[in-house]
Amino acid sequence: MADLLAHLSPAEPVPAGHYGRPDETGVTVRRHDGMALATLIARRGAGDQLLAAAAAEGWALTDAPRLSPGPGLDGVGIAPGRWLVSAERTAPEDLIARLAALAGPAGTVCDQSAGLMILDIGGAQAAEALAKGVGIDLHPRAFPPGAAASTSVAQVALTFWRMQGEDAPCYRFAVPRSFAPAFTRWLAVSAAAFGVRFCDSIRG
Amino acid sequence: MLIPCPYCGVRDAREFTYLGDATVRRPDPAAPDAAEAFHAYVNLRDNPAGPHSEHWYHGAGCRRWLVVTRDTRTHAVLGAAFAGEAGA
Repeated sequence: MADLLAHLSPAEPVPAGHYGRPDETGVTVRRHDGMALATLIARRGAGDQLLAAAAAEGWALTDAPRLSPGPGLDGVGIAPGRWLVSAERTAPEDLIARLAALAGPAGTVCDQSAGLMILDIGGAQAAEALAKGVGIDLHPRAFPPGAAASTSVAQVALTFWRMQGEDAPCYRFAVPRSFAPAFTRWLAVSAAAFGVRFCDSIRG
Repeated sequence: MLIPCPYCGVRDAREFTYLGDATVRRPDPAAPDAAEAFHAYVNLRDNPAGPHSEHWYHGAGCRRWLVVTRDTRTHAVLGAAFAGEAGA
């Protein structure tokens, strides 16, 4: 088969459209533009204090590679005492201010909104397509809704998690933005056998 | 080769970077035999046939340093702990 993406610039993310098998859409990809993102890092020895401060705001933050949904934000464990926090339809500065107030002296907050691209990858065959590059068992028993992992996919170091409350499996990927062309090209080619639709990106 | 990261779980060795022997300790620079001790610290390494403690960096995962015990004859990984908590 000729290169599926030969007509597209290798320097741009794969644009919206349908790729691969034309009669099916086994995988759906949707990009979020402008979602507020930040890393929250506990200072040495202050991990429990930070978790208690989150709990006091009704946010059951856990120190593990898992999704911890909270009021108006999501935390994902990326390392011991470190989380990637995302908030939809929120200005980055509002998320930073909220996390800084929550953490106080127990933690540090760093804006990642411009540095990461958020992709929701779903559909009946999403796990099958992702398995071509994700070196982690995506079977629901091993990677249920809420599970998260930081790993390397197609030579790109990224974090992803399985979202909760979706009918079909849906995985949210946080990809370093400068790798967006490489990652989306890998994704389009890997999912082409199932038919893949790159939807118009959504704001926030 | 699979390495059981204490935080991330079992991962392929390609996610990690190898540093080397985790048993050597920085000598006291004020000791009278400091020159010889630093020569050994920097240059001399044992090459055991069997279990060996070594530093691995989980760069594609949690970005933490681990002390991994690996059997140099079989590449069987016998355990892994965070470097700071393994006393190394």
